[in-house]
Amino acid sequence: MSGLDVSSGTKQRRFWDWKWLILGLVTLILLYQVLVPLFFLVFGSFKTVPPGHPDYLSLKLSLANYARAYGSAGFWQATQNSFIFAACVSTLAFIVGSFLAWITERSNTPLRKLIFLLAVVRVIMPGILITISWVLLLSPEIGILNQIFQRLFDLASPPFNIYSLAGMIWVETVEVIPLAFLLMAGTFRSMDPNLEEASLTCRTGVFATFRRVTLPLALPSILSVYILLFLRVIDAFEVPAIIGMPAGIHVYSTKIYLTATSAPADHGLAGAYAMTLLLLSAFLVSLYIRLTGEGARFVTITGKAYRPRAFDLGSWKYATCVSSLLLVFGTFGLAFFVIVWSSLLPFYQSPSWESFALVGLRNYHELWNYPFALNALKNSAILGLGSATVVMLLAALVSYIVVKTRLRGRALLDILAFSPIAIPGMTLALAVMWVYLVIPIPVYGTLWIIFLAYVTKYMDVSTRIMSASFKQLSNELEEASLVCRASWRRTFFVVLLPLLKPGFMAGWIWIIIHAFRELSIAMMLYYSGTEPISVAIFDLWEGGSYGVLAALGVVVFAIMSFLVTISKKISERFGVREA
Amino acid sequence: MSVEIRNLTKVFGVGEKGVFAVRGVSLTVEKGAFLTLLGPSGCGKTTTLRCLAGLERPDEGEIILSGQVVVSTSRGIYMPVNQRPIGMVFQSYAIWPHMTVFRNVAYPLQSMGIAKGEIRRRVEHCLELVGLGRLEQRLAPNLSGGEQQRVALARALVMEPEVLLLDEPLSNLDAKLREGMRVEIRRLQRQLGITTVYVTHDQVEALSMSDMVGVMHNGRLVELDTPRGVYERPRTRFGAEFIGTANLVRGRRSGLSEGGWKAAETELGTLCYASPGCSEPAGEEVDFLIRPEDICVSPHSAAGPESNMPNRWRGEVTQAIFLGPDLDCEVSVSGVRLRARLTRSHELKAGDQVDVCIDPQNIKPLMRY
Repeated sequence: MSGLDVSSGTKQRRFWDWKWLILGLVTLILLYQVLVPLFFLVFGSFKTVPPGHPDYLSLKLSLANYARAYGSAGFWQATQNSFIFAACVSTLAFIVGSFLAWITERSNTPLRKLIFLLAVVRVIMPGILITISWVLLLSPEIGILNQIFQRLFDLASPPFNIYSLAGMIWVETVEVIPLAFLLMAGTFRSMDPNLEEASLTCRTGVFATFRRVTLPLALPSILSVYILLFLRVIDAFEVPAIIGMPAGIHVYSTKIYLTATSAPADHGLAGAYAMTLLLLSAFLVSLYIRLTGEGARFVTITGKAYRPRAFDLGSWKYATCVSSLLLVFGTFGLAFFVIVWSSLLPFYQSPSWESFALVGLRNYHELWNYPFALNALKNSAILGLGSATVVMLLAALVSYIVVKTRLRGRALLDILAFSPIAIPGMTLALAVMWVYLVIPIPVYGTLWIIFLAYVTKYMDVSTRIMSASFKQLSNELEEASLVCRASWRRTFFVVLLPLLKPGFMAGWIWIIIHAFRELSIAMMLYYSGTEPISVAIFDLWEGGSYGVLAALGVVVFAIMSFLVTISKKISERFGVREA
Repeated sequence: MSVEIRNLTKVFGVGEKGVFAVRGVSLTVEKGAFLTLLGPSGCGKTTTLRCLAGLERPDEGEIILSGQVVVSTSRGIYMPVNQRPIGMVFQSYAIWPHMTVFRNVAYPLQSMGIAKGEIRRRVEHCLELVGLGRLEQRLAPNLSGGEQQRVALARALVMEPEVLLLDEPLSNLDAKLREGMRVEIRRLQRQLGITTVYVTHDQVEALSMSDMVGVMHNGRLVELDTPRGVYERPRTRFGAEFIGTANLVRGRRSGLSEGGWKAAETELGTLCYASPGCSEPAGEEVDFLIRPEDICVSPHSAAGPESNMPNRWRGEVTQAIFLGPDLDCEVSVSGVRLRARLTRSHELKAGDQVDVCIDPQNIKPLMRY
C-alpha cells in the first residue's frame, strides 16, 4: 500500500500546477493591466518633469501641477462646461429614453417591436459618425436643415448653430438615448407587474398608477441609471472634439487631450486634469454601487423577464406610436440618411433635383483605392478581434476564480476587474501612454499600446457578462468532467467554455463593436500608420473629405450590422442556457 | 475491502463559525458490495460521497480505494479527483448539453488517452449495456430525464472504475421511472460486480437496492447494517424513527424476567422483551421500538385479556384510516397512543374497544442516543 502512496503524491502536484499556473498568470495580468497604469497616473500627476526625463523616477513630488490647474480660469471654465454638458445631456436622454422604454415595454402601442429595434440598432453606429452627421445637418455654413429652414421661412441667417454648448448637448443627447433606453427598458422589464395591477384594481387610472406606483418603485433604478448616464457623458470625447474644440468650448476630456498632445505637451497639467476626472467618476461609481447594492447590474440588465401586462392606452396609443417613431427617426434616421446621402455625392450639398443627377458610387470606389482607409479598417479589425478575444478569455478565467472557487482574495480580484468602469477613457489613455514612455517595453507608437489600453478598458463589462454566465452553470457540470479523469485545463476549455458560449459570444461582439467605435484612447495613442477607423474618420473630417468619410461610415455600419446579426444567429443556435 | 473510510471529518467554514459536515465517520465496503448512505438533507451523506470522489478535501481521516490510499491527512496524501479510480453519477446528471450522447460517454476515455477505435468499441458497448444503443448522435438536451440518467450511468461506467459513486441519482425522475431505474441500476451493479456507494434520502431505495445501509445524522454514521438489520434492529432512536414508522415507548429496566423474557416498567405497564445482549444494568431508562405491523389488534373479547400472555393490554381505537391493502390504526393504551398497521380484513372504527398484544420478540430496546 505504501508503495502506491508515493505515486499518488506526485500525481497530485502535477494536477494542481496547471490550474494554479493559469489562474496565477491571469491574476498577474489583471494586476498589471489595472494597477500599473493607475500608479503611473497618480505618480505622474505629482511630477513636474515629463516622462522620460532622467529625474522622472526620483521621489521628488510636488503639487505644482494641481496648483497650476486649479489656479487657471481655463480649468474652472472646463469644469463648468463639463457639468452643464453632463447634467443637461443625462436629463434629456433620460426623459426620452424612459419614454421610449415605457412605450415599448409596458404599453400596447402599435409597432413597438420596430421602435425597439430602431432605438437599439443605433448603438452600432460609431459616435463620431453621428456627431459628424449632425454637423452636416446643423452647421451654419453647410447644414442641410439650416438651408431648408432658411428657404422655407425666408430667414436672413441660419436658425441653428451646432457650434455651441446647446449644439453639443443636443448631439450628445442623441448619442446617449439608446443607452438610456436600454437601461430603462431593463428596469421596466424586471418590475413585478402585480404591484401595478393591484393599483389598477383599486380604481386608479393608468396615468395615476404610473405616477403613484410605477415611478416610486423604480426610483432607485432611475437614480442609478441617471448616474450611469452622467458617468458616460462626463467621459465623452467625440462631441467635444468635433464640435467643442473648433468652437472653443472645452470639457475635461478635450482639455486632457489638448494639453497632452499639443506641442510642447504639458504632461503635468494633463495629469492634474486626468486625476480630477478620475476622482469624479470614482465618486459616481461608488454612489452607484451604494444605490444598487452591487455592480452586477451594470451590463446584464436582462435578468428574469416578467413580460408584464401591457397598459392599454386606448386611442392614445396612436399618438405614442407616431411620436416614438418621430423621435427615433429624428434622433437616428436623419443622421443615418445624411451619412448615406453624402456618401453618394462627389461633394456635400443639400438634396435637390440637380444633386440627384450626381448620385453615384464614386466615393466607394475611391475608398477601395485609398490605402489610408483600408489600413484603418485593418487596424480596427486587428484591435477589435484581438482585444475581444484576449479580454473575453481573461474575463472567463477571472470569473471562474470569482464565482467557482473558494480562493481567498477572490473578492479583491472581482473589484480589480470591475474597477476600469471608474477610469474614464481619456484618463486611461494618458496613464497607459505614461507607462510605456517610462517602462522600456517597445510598444509606444505601435498597435500594441492601443490594444493594451483596450484590454484594461473592456475588463469591467466582460467580467460582468462572464460572471453572470458562470453563476448559471451548475457546479456538477464541472465536477463531472473532473470525475471523468479530465485535467482542469481540459475541463475549462472543452466543457466550461463551450457551455458559456452564448455569454462569451455576446461579450466578444460587444467588445468588437465598442473597439470600432472607440475614439479617445485611439486618438491619444495612435501613431502614423496605426490609426483605427475612428481616428481615420476624424482625420478625413479635418481634411474635408466628407464623401469618402461617409462611404467609410456606411461600410463600418454594414460590417457592424453583419456582426450583430451573426451573433444573434449564434446565440439562437447554441443558446444552451440563455435566461 | 474495496472502500475503506477511517475517521473521516469535514468542517465547512473556519474557526468559531465552522460547521461539522461529517464527523468521525468510519466504514468499509466489501468488493462488489452495494452500500447506501441514507439520511435527511444536511446529514453529511453527500459530503462523505464527495470526499470519496475527491470533490471535497477532508479535514481529517483516511480514505482507501481498492488498496490505494487516496486520502490520509496524517500522512499528507491527497489524490485529486481526476486520478481516482471512480465513476460518478450526479444528482442533476450533469450531462454536458453541448455534446452528443456519444461524445459525453467518450469523454472520460479521451481524457485517459485511449485509442479512437477502442473508444468507439467501449462507448458502444456501454450504451448497449444501459439500453441507449440507438441514441448515440442525439444532443443531450433532446433526451428525456430517464435517458439522461442512463447516459450519466454509461459515462460513469465506461472507464471501468473500481468504485461507482451515485449521488441521489433518482431524485429527479418521476415515481414510475424511479422504480424501473432502481431495478436496473441494481441489475447492472450485480452484473458488473462493481463496488458501489449510493447516496439517497429515500428509504425505499436504500432498503430495496443495498447490501448494506448506513444511516447518517448530523454528520455521524448512526447505523450500519443490512437493510433488514437497520429496519428490525436499529441501534439508535434516530435510526428507528427515520426508517419506517416507529412507536417508541420509554421505560425503565426492572432487572426481572418473566417467562424467559426480560422486563421493563413502561407507560404501558410491564413490557416483556427479548434482548440478545447480555446483562444490562437494572434501573436504566431505555426506549423501546415497536413497529406498527408488529402490533396485533383484535376486538375486545369479554373473557378479558389472558393474564398468562405477556404484553397484552386493553385499548381503544382513536383513529382508523383505510389505505386499501392496509388499515392504519391508532390505538390508545393507558393513555399511550400506538400506531398499528393491520390488514384490511380488520373492520375497526374509532371508539371500538380492542385487545392489543405484541410479541416480545418484536420489541427492541434502543441504545440511548
